[in-house]
Formats: sequence, C-alpha cells, structure tokens
Amino acid sequence: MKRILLTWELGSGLGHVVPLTGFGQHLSNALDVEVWYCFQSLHDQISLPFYKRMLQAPPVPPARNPIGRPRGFSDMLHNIGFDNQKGLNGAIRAWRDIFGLVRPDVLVCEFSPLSLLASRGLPMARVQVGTGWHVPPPGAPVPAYRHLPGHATEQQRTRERAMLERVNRVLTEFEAPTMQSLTDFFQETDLTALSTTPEFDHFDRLEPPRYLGHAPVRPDNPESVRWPQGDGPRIFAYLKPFRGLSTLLKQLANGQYRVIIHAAEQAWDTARHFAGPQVKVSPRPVALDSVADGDLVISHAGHGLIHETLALELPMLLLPLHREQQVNAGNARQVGAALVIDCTGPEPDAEAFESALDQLLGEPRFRQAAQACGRSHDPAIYPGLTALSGAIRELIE
Amino acid sequence: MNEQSRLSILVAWEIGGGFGHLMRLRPIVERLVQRGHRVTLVVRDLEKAQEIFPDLACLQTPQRSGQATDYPQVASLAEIMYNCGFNDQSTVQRLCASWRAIGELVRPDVVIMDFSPMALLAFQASPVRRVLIDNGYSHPTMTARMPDLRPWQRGYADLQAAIEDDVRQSVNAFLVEQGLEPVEALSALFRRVDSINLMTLPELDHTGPKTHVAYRGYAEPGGPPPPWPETGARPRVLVYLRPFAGIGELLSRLGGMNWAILAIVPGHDQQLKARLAGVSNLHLTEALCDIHLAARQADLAVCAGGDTVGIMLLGATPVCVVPYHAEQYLTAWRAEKTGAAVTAGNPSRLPPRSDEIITALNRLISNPDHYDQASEFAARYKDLDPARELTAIITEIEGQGFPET
Repeated sequence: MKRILLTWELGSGLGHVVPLTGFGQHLSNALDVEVWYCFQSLHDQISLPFYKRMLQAPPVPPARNPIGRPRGFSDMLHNIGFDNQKGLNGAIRAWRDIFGLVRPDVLVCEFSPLSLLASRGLPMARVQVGTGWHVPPPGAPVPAYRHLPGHATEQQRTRERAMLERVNRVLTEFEAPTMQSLTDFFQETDLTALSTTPEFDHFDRLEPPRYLGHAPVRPDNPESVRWPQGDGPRIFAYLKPFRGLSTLLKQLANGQYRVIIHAAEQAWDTARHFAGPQVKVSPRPVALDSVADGDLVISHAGHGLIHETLALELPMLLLPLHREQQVNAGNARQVGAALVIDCTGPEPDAEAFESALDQLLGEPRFRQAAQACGRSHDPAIYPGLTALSGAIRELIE
Repeated sequence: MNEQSRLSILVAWEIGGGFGHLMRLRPIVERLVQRGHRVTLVVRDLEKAQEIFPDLACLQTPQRSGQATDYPQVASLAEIMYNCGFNDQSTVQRLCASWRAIGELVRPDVVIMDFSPMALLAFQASPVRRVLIDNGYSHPTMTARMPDLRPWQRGYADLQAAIEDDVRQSVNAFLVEQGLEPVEALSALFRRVDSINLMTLPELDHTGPKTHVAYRGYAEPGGPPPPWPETGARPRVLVYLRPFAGIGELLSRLGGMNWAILAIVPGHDQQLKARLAGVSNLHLTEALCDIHLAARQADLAVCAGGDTVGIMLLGATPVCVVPYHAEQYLTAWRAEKTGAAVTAGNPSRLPPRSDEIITALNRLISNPDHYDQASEFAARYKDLDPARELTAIITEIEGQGFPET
C-alpha cells in the first residue's frame, strides 16, 4: 500500500492541525493509501485515531544569532536554524531518519521547510499545502511579503548567500542536489496547492500556484449565542490579549452597541470585567453561524477568520498582532472590506477605535465590498480536499 | 549471526537531561550494533543523540503538548510521571498511541528503556522483550507507595498519595483498554518487564538497595588517559563539573593550593580559560578522558552527583559532591552514608557556592576516615568487572538462543 506522510513543523493553534488532519482523513477515505502524520505538537485537539500513525516531529533547531524582528521569509528561515550549520545538519538528518522509517511515496508539507528540504533528492513526490505565508515565490533575494516593507538590504543579501552556502553544504553531505537560490526547494515540488484565494495570498507571484480557496477551520463544540437585546449595531469580537485591549473594551461597553466577545487566552481575565447587559463575554469559541446576522466583526486578522467573516458578508475591524496578520489585514483592506488598526506597535488610542467603528458601521461601502467577495469565500463550496486528493492520486499513479 | 537472527532493537530515553543517559547507553548500543542487530533510538534530546550515535537512526520521543510542569519540585517518580502527561488519561492514550506508531515502523523485537515510563506502558501489550536500563532514581522500590525522592525534607503525604493515585488511574485505564491486568501499586508497572538493570550500586541507589534488580555498576566508555598537570604535586584532585556561577572562583582557589588539579569542565567559556591560564598546577579541559582510570589515579574528587560519584568510590577516591539539582543531591545523600563522601551546600539552594564547596572539601581531607571508607568501598567491589557486566546486559537484551558475547 502506498504511503503518504503529512508534516507540520511551524506555527501554532488549530489553523494547521484541523485542515491537515481533515485532509489526511479525506485521503484515507478517497485513496487506497496509508496516511502517516509527523507534527511538531501532539495537540489534544487531534482525535485519538490519528495518533495510531502520528510521530513527533524533530525540534526546529535554534538560530545562533536570532533576528529579533524578522522582516521577511528569509529572516524566518534564519531563525529556524538556517544560520546554524550544526543545527541544520541535525534537523535534516532527523527528518531523513523519519523518511527512512516511513518510506513515504508522497510527502505533504504544511509549513514544514525543514522536512521539505530534507526530502530533496529522495524518491518521493512532494506537495506543499497551507496558506501563501509558508510558500515563497522564486527570487534572490527572497521577495517581500505583500503590505510589508520590502526593500532588501545588503545585510539581507549577505545573510541569504550565507544560508544558501550552509544549505548546499548539508545537501552535499547527504548527496542531494544543491541549489542555485535559497528558496529553490519550495519551487521544485510536484504540486503547490494553497488554501486561499489570489487576493488573500501573502505574496505577489508571477506564476500563480493552484489556489484551492479557504479550508474551513471550525473549533470543536462552539457556543451558540444570542445578541443582547436592543437595537444598536451588532458587533462580534474575537480578542486576544494586546496593548489597547482595555481601551477597545471600554469603547465597546460605552457605545450604543450590542456586543458578543470571545475572549481567548488571558484576554478573558480583562474582558470579563466589561460584561453587562449590552456586552456578552465568553471564554469559549463562538459559533459563527449564531452571529451571522451581525453588522461587524472585530478580530486580529487570522487568515481563517477573515475568510469566514467574508463568507458571512460582514465588514471587519482588524487588529493585527504580528506580521502574518498584518499581511492578512492589508489584503482585507485592499478588497475594501476592512479597516486596520495595527497593534504590533504603540498602543492605539480610543479615538482610533471610535473613528474606525463609526466608519465601518456608518459607511455602506465596507459591507458592499464584503458582499462582493463574500460568496467566493463560502467554506461550504471549498473544493480543496477533492481537488487535492485527485492530484495526489495522479502523483501516486 | 545471519540476517534472519538479527534483532530489531528500539532504545527509548524519555526523561532527564545532559549526556549521562546517552553515555551509559553507548557501550550497550555499540555492542548490539557490533553483533549485527538493527538499533533505532527514540530520544528526548535528538541533538545529543546524533552526536553520540552518528550512524544510527534517531527519532524524537512523543511529547506532551505544551510546556507546563505541574510539580516542578518533584518528590516522587509518580510526580515526574504526572508532569510528563500521566496526569490525564487522554494524554496517556495519545502518547502511547504515538509510541506504538513508532513500534509499527521499527517492528522491534526488544525495547530497551532508560527512564521511559510512557514507552514502558505503551509496549505492555506488544509482543516484545522489555529491558530496563535505569538507576535508582528512575526505578522505584516495589512498595505500595513510590519512594520519597526528597527524604531530607518533610513530605506532604496526602497530596503525594493523591497524585500517585491519579497517575495509577491513568496507567490502569490504558492497561485495561489493552486487555491487561491493572496494577495495584504504581511501582508494579516497573516490574512488568523481562529484565531490570540498574547502572549503579546498592549503596548509591537513590531509593535504597533493591532485591528485584541486577546492579551493573557503571558503564566504561573508555577514552584517553587523564591529562594531569605535570608538576608532580600531590594530592591529585580531579574536578569534573559543568560550568556554574562559582566555577571560576572555585578553580582559582583550588589553583592557589599546592595540589595537582585536573579540571574537566565541558562547555566552559573563554573567560574561565583566561582566568586560569597562568596556573601551572591546574589543567583545564573540556575533553572527557578515561574516567575510571582517573578515579584510580586521583587522591580526591570534586564532582556533581551523577555516575561519577560511584566511579570515584570504585577507584577508592573520596568525593566532595557538588549537586546541581535534587536528583544529584539524593546521590550525594546516599554517598555520604558510605562514609567516603561529603556534600557541599544544602538542598534549598543548588548548586552550592564556591566557599561552601571549599568548606566541604576541607571537611573531606581533614578526616582520614573518608579515605579508609573509600578504600573499603573499592575493596568490596574489586571483582566488579564492567566488561563482564556489559556482556550480561547484552545477554539479557538478546534473550535465549544467541551465541555468547
């Protein structure tokens, strides 16, 4: 029986494991294959049957001189051991040991640059899945993300050359083909299928990959909620801890709104104090269907929630907390469905929140933009799994 | 040995740090490879394992998601297990399933386990030979309750019992699910194996002498002869420590005495090297040497509370133990009871300060009883032969029907 190995090395949360295990399940059902998993976190949200073929991924090697504020994709590679020859060699060896045991016919990588690199030269088909954030387009220096500062400095070019030398040393050691540029191994796969749409890709690309649309990520056992009574605008907010959280909560509590908040992680400690007749606060995930008749969604610009919000045809106030979310937020702003208050820097003030809420609720253009692109984001029409398993069937055959 | 008679051997190491576990496994693994067996390692520290075993497949152990440690000041093996995921039945199910997934790939005939309770549980229902390579810290007494790992402090019996019961429940839920008998006491899980080998000696067993195990002494990894400073000074003092805040001060003060000092300090920095550069009676090195030979040649030793303590005593060398953490303090506590060792510092603040180490060292050299007791200890074990013990371990691993080693 053919074997497929699904790997996940970087990132956190359910956004990686839920689609990937769903895909694995689909492959098991659709094809006559044995599906194995190798994940960086043996997450308690993954159900037990998956663990029968679940391996622990090797740890990502530390950078020798980590870049504190990574600017682009190559800085990310630097920080996962590409500046550390010994660590890089060890990681490649560890992945090759796994390949030696599993002997996969197809390797499916989701944000797994080290496993993808380690597979170079080995007799297996290679597939990349995930969002555009994980898959850089070709080019040296590595092209910049959308909406982020993109000017490549001489320092970056030098670093990339040094990383390429290290990578080629390790490839030579393992008798694998060397590379001309740092991201060749992302380009030389059998299939790259991104679970996003072109307007929500993280890079501009000359040669578009296969876009599958949005892979739905639904939390287990979400809470169905009802809007507080009244006739004010209905706002759903998914909030994590950030500088400015209290300011925003005050704004929401004191305005003439009806608000439902899912306060995740430690945000609950702060948000619960703002609960009242017009503000419901829950530490549990909220069923999005139950807020579908709202007027606005506030979130931190996670890729999945943006798609889900567009599928509901709702405008968004986006509060990105890190660079990937900055790109997502920039894309949403570009399609006209969102305003963005960057929360990666200084604390935003009350006026910024007030002004954004007024605009988003008062100007129909945001909702119209959300409606215009919303239909193509409906997770119910996600074609990804069938399309992907069909492509993998061809690779195996 | 022909191809068919070769064994697939899975070596598991789940808990602990440093090189100690790997170094004691190394001679065993090397001998198994020499004998034609296929060895796969599944280890806690992949980087170190790759360094020690450059030609063998090394995988990462399945690990509990998240980093939370429920009981950082562990006082029993049950608490250690609790911290590693035994607190929760679904975590036990997931981690055991992942261990068995590794088993499906490796198809082991034998599973060797060094401080690996989850692997021990996971492979209970598998048709494999189970062999423990442990010490007294990771292998309990066969008592109703797990032995106390902090005997110097007042316990909290009710809480400890509740923790142990939680762990036992998780273990039993898994055993019953696999169609196996539950255990009445948690310690009984550690007897459901084919062979128990403790790489220590009864006097230095952390939790006291046991009758159901084979004591194998200490692995002999070999190495170059110890590079003593060529001053001819005596006594010869072996210092074998990892860097800590007071290491520079300690070595400077030792260097000021008219002794011959060999200081093995793996991972020391340039600053320490520069500080000791002009001290002719002190040789500072990172390189490991033949530590058994060094034990026989030294007059005194200053070392942390690992296997080196026992190796020194077997060489009739009294020891000043410098514990870095509670497990090592327990070794020191046992070593003191032999009368051949003293302990620096106290368990509430480890590692000890340099002045505490000097005080302890003075206490050691001022009393000739320590030398006498070290000599007596060595005499008791004069017939202990590491090579013979290694052969015995290999026989235990291979089971019946293999040619003699």
